[in-house]
Amino acid sequence: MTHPVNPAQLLLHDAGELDASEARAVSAHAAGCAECTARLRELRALGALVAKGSAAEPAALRRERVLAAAFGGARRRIAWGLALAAAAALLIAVGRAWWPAGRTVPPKKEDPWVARHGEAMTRLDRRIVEVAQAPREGAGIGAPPDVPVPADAARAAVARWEAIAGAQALFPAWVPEGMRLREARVSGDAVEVTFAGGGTSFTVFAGAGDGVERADGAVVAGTAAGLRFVLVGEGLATDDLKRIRASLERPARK
Amino acid sequence: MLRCGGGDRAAFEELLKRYETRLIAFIRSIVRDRGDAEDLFQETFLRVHRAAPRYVPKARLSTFLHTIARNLALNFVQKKREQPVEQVVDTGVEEEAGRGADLEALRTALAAALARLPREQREAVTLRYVSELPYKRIAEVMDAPIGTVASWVHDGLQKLSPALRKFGALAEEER
Repeated sequence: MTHPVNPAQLLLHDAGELDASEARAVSAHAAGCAECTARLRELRALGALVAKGSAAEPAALRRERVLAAAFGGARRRIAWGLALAAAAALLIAVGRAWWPAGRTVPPKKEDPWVARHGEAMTRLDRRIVEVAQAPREGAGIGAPPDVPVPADAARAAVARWEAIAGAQALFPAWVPEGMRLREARVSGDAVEVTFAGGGTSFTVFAGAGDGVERADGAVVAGTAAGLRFVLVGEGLATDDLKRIRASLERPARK
Repeated sequence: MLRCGGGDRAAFEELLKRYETRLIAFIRSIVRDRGDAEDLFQETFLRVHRAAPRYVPKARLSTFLHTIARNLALNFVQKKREQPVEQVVDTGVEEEAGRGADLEALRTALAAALARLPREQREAVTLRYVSELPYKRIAEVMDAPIGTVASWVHDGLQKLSPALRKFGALAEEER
């Protein structure tokens, strides 16, 4: 015989997170059920032990380390570089099939990246696709207003999916729920895609040019298949942005 | 958070103090190693620092922070997937821990027992009892239905029970 209140309900009820009707039903049952009373007592005790056993250790040094890194410089980006290089290789592997340097992508009604990889996409991929395909819908975390995707849909779509894949791999913490495409631009062989959400934004530049070595606030992700990838956070100076764009639009050959 | 966006170091430090215990425990519930958890905690706050000027307070700050931390931690684990993490954390100290029901022994036993839980249960239990998030917020962070989250918490606690039962007196003190 099945117990009328399951343990999950009991926990939710104890936390005051059941809706009113369900809460009434659980209350009515639990008040007279010795089994539920005992189980809840045990669960509370276990929860208290988890909390107590996870108590913090002195952390002044750790805090200082974070403060120094946040307010004292940008050395940590070196670590990014390693992660980005690996992620860029993955990105290029996907992108190569669709956008080798100089290739003009034929227009298709269905997004080619989705058509080809639809079955293999992860749940997060799917979510990003949904958000990007319906940029004015969804409930992003502090997402700003969207800017329409350019009309050159086929080419922009390829750039978009490549950039999404890259952004997801390169900036996993910046592509949480609600992250959405804000703007996509294609210029010559260079692509510039901006994502926003979660109270932040970032831009992925990709192109056949040499790319900048470094600009303040920019991370050069890597080079492969004739493409150079540059990822930029917020607050980069206009001149630096222009420099990045120009460097990526330049032919790779010298 | 809004003050952090203006470059207020004191506000940022306050944010650090308020969330460090919870976030490190939460990250550790995913990556299992304390050193890695501290590194990822630092990375989380560096990203928060960079995002602060554009932060729009539409979501709960705790949800925002835990989501960033979770994404970082999951990505880290994915990269290290080939490594047999159980061997790293399962130190076999649980029996020794049982000899004295003190706080240090509880910590050791808890760490060993948590390490053996499935990741979702470990995350959910930590978010509930260390981060002290409501189930609704845990569901947002973990992108799962609230009932599923509650089940993970329950199942996790049940599996922790054999290792923690001997520390019952400490739970009584806590109340």
